[in-house]
Amino acid sequence: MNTPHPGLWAVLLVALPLALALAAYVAGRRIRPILVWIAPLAMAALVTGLIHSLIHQGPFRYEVGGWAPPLGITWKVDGLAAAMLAITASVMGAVCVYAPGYFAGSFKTAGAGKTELFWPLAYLLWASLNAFFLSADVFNLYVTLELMTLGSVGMIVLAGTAESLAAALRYLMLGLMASLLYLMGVALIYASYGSLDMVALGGQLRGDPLTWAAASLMIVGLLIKTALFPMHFWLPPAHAGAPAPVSALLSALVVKASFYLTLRLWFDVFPAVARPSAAQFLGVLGACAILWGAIQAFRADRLKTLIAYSTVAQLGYLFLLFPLAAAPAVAKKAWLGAILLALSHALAKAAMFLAAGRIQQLAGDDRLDRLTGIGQRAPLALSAMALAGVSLMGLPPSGGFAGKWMLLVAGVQSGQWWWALVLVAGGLLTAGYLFRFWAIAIAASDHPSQRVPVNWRMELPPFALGVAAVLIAFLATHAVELLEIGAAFPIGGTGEVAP
Amino acid sequence: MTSLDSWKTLRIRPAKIAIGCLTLGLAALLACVVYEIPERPLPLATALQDIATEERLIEKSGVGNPVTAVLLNFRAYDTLLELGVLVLAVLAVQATSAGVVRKRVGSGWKHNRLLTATLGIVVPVSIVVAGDLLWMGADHPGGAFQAGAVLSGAGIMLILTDRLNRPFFSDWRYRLAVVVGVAVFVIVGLGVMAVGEQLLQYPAGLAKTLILAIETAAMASVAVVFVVLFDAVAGPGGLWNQSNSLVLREDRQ
Amino acid sequence: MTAFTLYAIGGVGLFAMGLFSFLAVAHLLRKILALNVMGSGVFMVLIAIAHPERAATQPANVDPIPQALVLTGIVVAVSATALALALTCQYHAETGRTTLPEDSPGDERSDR
Repeated sequence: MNTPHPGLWAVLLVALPLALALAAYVAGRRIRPILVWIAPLAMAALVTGLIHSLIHQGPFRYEVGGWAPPLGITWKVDGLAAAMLAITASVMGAVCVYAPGYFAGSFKTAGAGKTELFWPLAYLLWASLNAFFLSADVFNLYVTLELMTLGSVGMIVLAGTAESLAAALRYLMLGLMASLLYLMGVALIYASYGSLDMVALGGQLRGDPLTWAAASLMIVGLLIKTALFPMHFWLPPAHAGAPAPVSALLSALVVKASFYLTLRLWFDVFPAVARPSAAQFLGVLGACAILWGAIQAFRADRLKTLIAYSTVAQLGYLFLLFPLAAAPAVAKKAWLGAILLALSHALAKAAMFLAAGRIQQLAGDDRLDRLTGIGQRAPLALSAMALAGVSLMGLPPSGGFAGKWMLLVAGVQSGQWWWALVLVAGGLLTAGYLFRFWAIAIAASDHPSQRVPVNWRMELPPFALGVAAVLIAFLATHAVELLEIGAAFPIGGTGEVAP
Repeated sequence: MTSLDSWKTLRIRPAKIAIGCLTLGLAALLACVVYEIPERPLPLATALQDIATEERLIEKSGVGNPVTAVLLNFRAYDTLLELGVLVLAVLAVQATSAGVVRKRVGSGWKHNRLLTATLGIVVPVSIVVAGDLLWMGADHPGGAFQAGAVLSGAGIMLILTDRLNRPFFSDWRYRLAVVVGVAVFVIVGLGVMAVGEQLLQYPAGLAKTLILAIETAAMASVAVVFVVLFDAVAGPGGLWNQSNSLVLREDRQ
Repeated sequence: MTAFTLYAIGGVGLFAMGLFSFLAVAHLLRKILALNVMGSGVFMVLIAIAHPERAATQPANVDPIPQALVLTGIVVAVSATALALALTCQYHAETGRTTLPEDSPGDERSDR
């Protein structure tokens, strides 16, 4: 069978959204149908092609420009990268279908200028996310991180409110500071090793203080971007203040990206300096995030703030990976579980934000005390939130359950039962604040509302994402097979794959 | 609130002292760490010039200046993304100012005789210098970014004297100029794939031409982006003057 | 102390000063300046790395890669600063504040 070089799929995954973004900026209106329908389908096809070639031809390293490292930049295409690309395509596809309905509705726009800016910004963010997941060069990752930060900030201010301005400003400042911490780490790494390639570094890393300092700088910068407690305070206003499709992108994809890089750096590049005490510390911060996020979500007075704090809590789960993976016997299980959890959370959280946007549109506001009985007017949106909630709570069958179960088993088997307790407690807390919203939404309202026709473009995407979050449970074995392609076990190997 | 009050806000609070100790500690730690950086041959510096087989790498790159070779050949993908950052900055600033009704203001300096005479010299010289930097960038320090910055300096002077047409955001020609850098880069990068190479792997012999084409487009983009960003933020009628309620100035002779 | 060490420690010092200012000062414009100083610190460290003194071979050659990284970094820093300034100006125009709400809670509307 005449298959094209697998690198072509990867290249198009970056080049296509980039080209579309540029075209959208210059001639937005004319290519709108392409942006909304055709491009997401094309991207889905490209991701499928990439996964297909991964399964049949194995993982590979792509040398951009044809120059071998340490001179050039390489891409590392393995199962984990492909999984992140797939989730990105799913969430972005849903957002692209959803967005026109959202912006045409009661969304306050000062002129059409802001609406037409959504498309180039969204597609540039898509291109930068794909470039990020593919790249294996630490400086290249810095540039893509900056792309993602600027893109996210640009999209947050589309909301047009003073709070969104403050939230965007805070996010930008902290994001820039975090990127500079990361860049200083990169500079120190280059000074010491003369290479910027992650795979090469993983092979030749020593455990000296310089490497430890560089690793700490890079990881602290990334932790700020992943909103790990206590550096989480920028996230709720930013995700709650942004327009709903933007919130979905930010909570589902952008924060996962910095977590993905932390994962890569911790296991593939810096295992020599990863001390168990640091791992336990990250776990403790994760547990605090779970607790704090849940408390604040319960106290939230707006729906989107509730969902944003839920993101803070769910990100805390992901950091339980580090102490669990410190025990070599269960490291693989913990790694797989955390990634499954991240993937399902992306789908579920995007579903919740998109549905919340529809609800906000119907009720005119997202204050919880105005949303009594909203379930009657938007049953499909509420069902989407229910499905997403099933995954977030970790109830079977759902992707969230699959991920949490693996982490639980890892915790129990390695004797670190306290993390298992944290996981269970977190699930209960999540149920607490989610049920608070559902109780309000399905309560009988004082004003009997007339039936609102279902807005399929706005209610089907979140429903589909919610279904996907649940379906991951049934596809778990396939997902695990995909993730294992190119991954090095026991964790801490270089994951060297042939170019 | 006077400037004195802004000092009081965080002045002697314990938080500030704690932050100070932390950053001082960080500085000390990094200084020690940096002091220990081993003096040893850098694989790349030696790889580019000294080892016999690798010596040709610079020649293969199509340009003589090693920094240009790195920027536009070895690590061209980084430069592509960096041009994307510029486009994104314009988009984000446009999003910020999209709801703002732009005051039709001028700086008032259009008919100032001294400025007009200066511009008559500075603008043409800037164009020539930019072209020179672009061309010489292949073998000497210079290149697209430096040339674009010089051009944008001339452009900013034109804005400040009310000689450049505004608004930039809605004119499709300016938008095209903003994206042309990335666009040409992507076209070249994909185009070479059509002849069987990897992304951005210039075929032998064509390297210099392609690099020059990319650099020209990049120079145009960089210049336009800086001009547009300046105008949106700090130009007359920009966001800064809005917030300072500086409206109309009398014509200055 | 070699030239490399001098520049590198200078860069580290700038980085730390910028970080301190960013964390300790409330005014948004000063925070943006602090970020620029931090960036300059990192760039200085990178440029120091390119110093020919560090190459043990003769003739000593300058490493072009950190220089290219710094060029990229400068462009990114300029773009980010422009965006930050635009946001700050618009924020000030809409709320009259020069600091984020959590940094100076008692700030009334002021025309600065």
